[in-house]
Amino acid sequence: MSKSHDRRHFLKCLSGGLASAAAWSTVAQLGLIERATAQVTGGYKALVCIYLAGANDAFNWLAPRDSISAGSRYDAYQTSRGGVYGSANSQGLAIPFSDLLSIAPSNQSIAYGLHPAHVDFQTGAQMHSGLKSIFDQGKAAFICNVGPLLEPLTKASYLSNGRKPAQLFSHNDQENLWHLGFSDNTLPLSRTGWGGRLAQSLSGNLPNGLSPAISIAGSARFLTGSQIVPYQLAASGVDVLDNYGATATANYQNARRAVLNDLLMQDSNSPFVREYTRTFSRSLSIGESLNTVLSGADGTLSTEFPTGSLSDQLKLVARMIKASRSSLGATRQVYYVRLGGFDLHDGMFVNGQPIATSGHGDLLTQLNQAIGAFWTALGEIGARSQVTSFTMSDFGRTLSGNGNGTDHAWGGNMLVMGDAVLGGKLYGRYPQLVLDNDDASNQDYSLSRGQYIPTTAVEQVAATLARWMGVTDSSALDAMFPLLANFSSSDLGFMES
Amino acid sequence: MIRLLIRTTLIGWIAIHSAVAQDQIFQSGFERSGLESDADAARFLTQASFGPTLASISELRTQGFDAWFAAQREAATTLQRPAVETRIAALALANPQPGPAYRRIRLEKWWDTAVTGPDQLRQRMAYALSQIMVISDVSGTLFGVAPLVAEYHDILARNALGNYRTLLEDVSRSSMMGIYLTHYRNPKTDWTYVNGVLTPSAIQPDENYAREVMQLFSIGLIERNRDFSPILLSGQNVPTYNQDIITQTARVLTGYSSPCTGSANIGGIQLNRNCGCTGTQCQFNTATFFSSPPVFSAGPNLMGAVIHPDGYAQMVCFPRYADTGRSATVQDNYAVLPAPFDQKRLIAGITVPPSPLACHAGTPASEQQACINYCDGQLDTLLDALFMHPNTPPMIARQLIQRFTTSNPSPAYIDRVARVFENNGSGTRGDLYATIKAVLLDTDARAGTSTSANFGKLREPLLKLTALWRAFGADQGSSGDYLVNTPEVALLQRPLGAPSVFNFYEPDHIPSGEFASLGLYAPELQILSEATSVSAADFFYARVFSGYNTQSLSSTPFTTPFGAHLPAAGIDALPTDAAQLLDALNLRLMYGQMSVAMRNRLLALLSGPMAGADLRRKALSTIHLILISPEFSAQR
Repeated sequence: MSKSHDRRHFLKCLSGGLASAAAWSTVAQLGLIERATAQVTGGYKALVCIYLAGANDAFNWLAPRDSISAGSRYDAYQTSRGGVYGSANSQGLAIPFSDLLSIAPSNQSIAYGLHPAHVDFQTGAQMHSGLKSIFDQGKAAFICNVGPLLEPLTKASYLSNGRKPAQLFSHNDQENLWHLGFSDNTLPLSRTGWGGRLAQSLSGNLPNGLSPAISIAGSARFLTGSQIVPYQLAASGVDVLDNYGATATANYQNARRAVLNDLLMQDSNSPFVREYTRTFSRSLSIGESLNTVLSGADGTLSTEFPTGSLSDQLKLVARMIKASRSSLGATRQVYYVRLGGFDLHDGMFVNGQPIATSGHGDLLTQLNQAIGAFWTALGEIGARSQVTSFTMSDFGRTLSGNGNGTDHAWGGNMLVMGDAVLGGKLYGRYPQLVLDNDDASNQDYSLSRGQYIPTTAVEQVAATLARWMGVTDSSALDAMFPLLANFSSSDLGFMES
Repeated sequence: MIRLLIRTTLIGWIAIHSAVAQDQIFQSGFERSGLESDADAARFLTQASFGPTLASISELRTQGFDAWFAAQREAATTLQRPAVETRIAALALANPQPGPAYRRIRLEKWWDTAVTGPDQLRQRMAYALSQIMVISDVSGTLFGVAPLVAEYHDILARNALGNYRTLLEDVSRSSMMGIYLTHYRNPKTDWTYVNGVLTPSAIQPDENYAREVMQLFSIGLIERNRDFSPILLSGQNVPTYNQDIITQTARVLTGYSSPCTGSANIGGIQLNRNCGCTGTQCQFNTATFFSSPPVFSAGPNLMGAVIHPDGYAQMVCFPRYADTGRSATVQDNYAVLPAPFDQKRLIAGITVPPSPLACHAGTPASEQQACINYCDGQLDTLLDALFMHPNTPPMIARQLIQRFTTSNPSPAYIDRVARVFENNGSGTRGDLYATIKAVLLDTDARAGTSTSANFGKLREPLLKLTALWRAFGADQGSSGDYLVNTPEVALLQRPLGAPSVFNFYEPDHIPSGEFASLGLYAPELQILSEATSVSAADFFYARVFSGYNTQSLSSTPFTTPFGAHLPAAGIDALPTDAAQLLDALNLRLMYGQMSVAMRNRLLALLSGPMAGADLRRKALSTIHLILISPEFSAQR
């Protein structure tokens, strides 16, 4: 009684006290705006965006592994990367042929190799599949050479009058374009992200006020809609305000809480004060009910997760999914998690330590273990067909090195994972990995250091995922991704229909 | 002017004193305009320092703005590295541990400087600069090396009220920045003959620093007017550089590594460094280029507790690894490369020609200095180009304004500050003292919300903490330390500990929702969330009540805790009358701007439910409510 009263009290504050300039977001937060522009049918579905911050070296993540003989695709790879890394060549960046974990994509004519980080592993007493096993089981796929584009480009059009995204090769600008889901940040939608637009089109806020767009990694443009604000959780779970119990009398808690509640109802002529008030109020009203659910059986998993930032984040996502499907009654959600440290201008490899677990391998091991345990957890709660996870990253990296690292480039490979993924395959065009290439017959275009011009645009991937989530109407997709019509396909075929 | 007249009139005796005295009074009255009340001074000090104290309020009102600025410039610079490494050396000698065990020692010095340092403006400026020219100890190589990060702070502090050009060079030559943005030991591309053809090696110069020094530390991405508005060509932004300029600029930033100066002793720890060379000769020594300055580390971790001074000395050029526009082989006698590889093409059409001399490991002694001069010269060319670019004044002006006064400065405000950056009035460009003075004394900064309700910024969480500690004279605890070792967990801020070179938040951050619809920036809102609003509130509760026992409702016993706390003597000296208590807290924390509604609500608490509580409990409870209140969240 007192708890729900408390919540109503806050909702009242939100709508009453801040009715003026901020009315629209207040209304949105209350879920009063007509939520779905698309018809949601069937059960629960969620997307989980795993952002690899700093730009993952996607061509050491997934490399050709056909043969070491001259003229092979692997040979082209190791040549562009300055040779194979080893004691004899500390400045080579290619992973040794024998270290790559061989995979056989069913739609490719040659074998590929995953970075040796992606093995099965054990946490406590529990075995988890690594990415190689998940791929082999047909539950994961890669989309190759994806990046921000305004229109399809050739080498010639890139060098002449082709339209290119602004500020190529800059971290924050290119990350922003991945979040936007289109590459012209002067368009009106550019204050939003495609995950937020998608969530907004499919779902309003839940009855407890929870946004359908949830970040476990802080502020994220990706999750912002024109009418919804993402809810931000710490990886540790819900942080509930201590020492301000509404009914506790120790240390005047209830009296102080009453004051706080009233202060949060005051209006202000400062947008900064208003935003603080909204955020803090949301946290108090939604956080307490969320905490109750997450602390119960609906928020508890038996899966053992390894330690680590990304693992902690994905564990909370799995708990939230379990709770959202049952207690909270969600139908569509979009999550955002993030792992940093990928900007390896140096330190790709660590002398004397295993490639699989040091340098870039350390980061990919964290990724492998986090998604491996997450996959186990989705199995535990029976949500593997309902949840599709995918990676995004700032850009690919140069093939040529600086010594023990690489610089900023453009196209890179993305991972998608889930039962609904038509997995065990590569989609898009995996590049030939040749420096300064201009091969029109293979649409293979790179700059002098092996910066690859993408052959698949971000929105083509995003639209494919949006279709799976339930936005199947092409005019709705075009509205969500305003440059989608510039590209040949809005369905890359990697998701079940 | 009207205000001036009123003020001089009010000072009644002015008319009957001599003309000289009258001038002095007039002059000082002029200086003190804008400081009519303690609240005025407290508001200024909220912007200009780590938080007002009663002493600093009184000092400012006595001095007036001009004298205050002058005194702040003259105040001795509180340095961190010497104290940090001395303390770590003593600890490490007694109980050797690897470097990460001593991360907190740097933080202790930072807290102490922010809370008690007399050079507040300089330190506040250094902190602002640390959010523009970012390095970080939260990950990577700098994680456990407190002396390096402390010395980087000292570079910022030494130059904080100096000249931006010197700052830019000190930062660019800092091995800490070299390590963080990877131009430390950045080798050039070697051109040699392969099958009779002059061919570049696979290694390309690292582009990381080349990009960020332009994008973030100086000119930015697009051409701008002095008021920061973009210059448009056919309606489009004009990029300041393209990828080729990045690649070319990276070539200039090659060849830098630590000097070699021989053995050293730090706080009783001997760090042997055998150079096998002396003077400029060392810069032609291949082994020296790759030799790491020794560290003291008894633990299994290779990172050092104490580090040899060569490790934080300015990087020097090793011409053999620097791109001189010449081949790397004796086969053609290190000939100048064919065009266009002989030259480096920088921004604004500036080019660096090839070295007139061959510079390699075997360069004769008589030509070594010339090679070093070439190398230093090309760095100067680059830094001069960035310094003189018309974008740099508005870029730096806008970011400083955002750090100190408002997230959304008017174009006219940026223009006024940028003009001072361009010329301090004596013909000097890049005078940061004049620049920050212009930021803080600008009419917009002083007028605040009287010109626009949108004026101001969200308070940084870390500055909320320092404001609290300064307002009530926080002491270290019985441990002798503050013991707030990981503020980033609750606040998402740690001094010189941002998640990336893009700082805790970005200057162009526009939050979703109301800010997006209003088109307003709010960098600090990037780290305010449902999660952090509560974690910060809990964090501040622990800080406010540290040492105070709240089990009883009527008494609040104090026991000196292990770490930082608000001393009981100071709390006990606050007024017992509820209205006077609120006035005192309003001045110290909210520069007298608490709304009537908020004041009445707190008054009702103190005279109602908390009427039976002691002063300590009333004061501490009110302080915490203020800290988490909407009105305190913004600095306006």
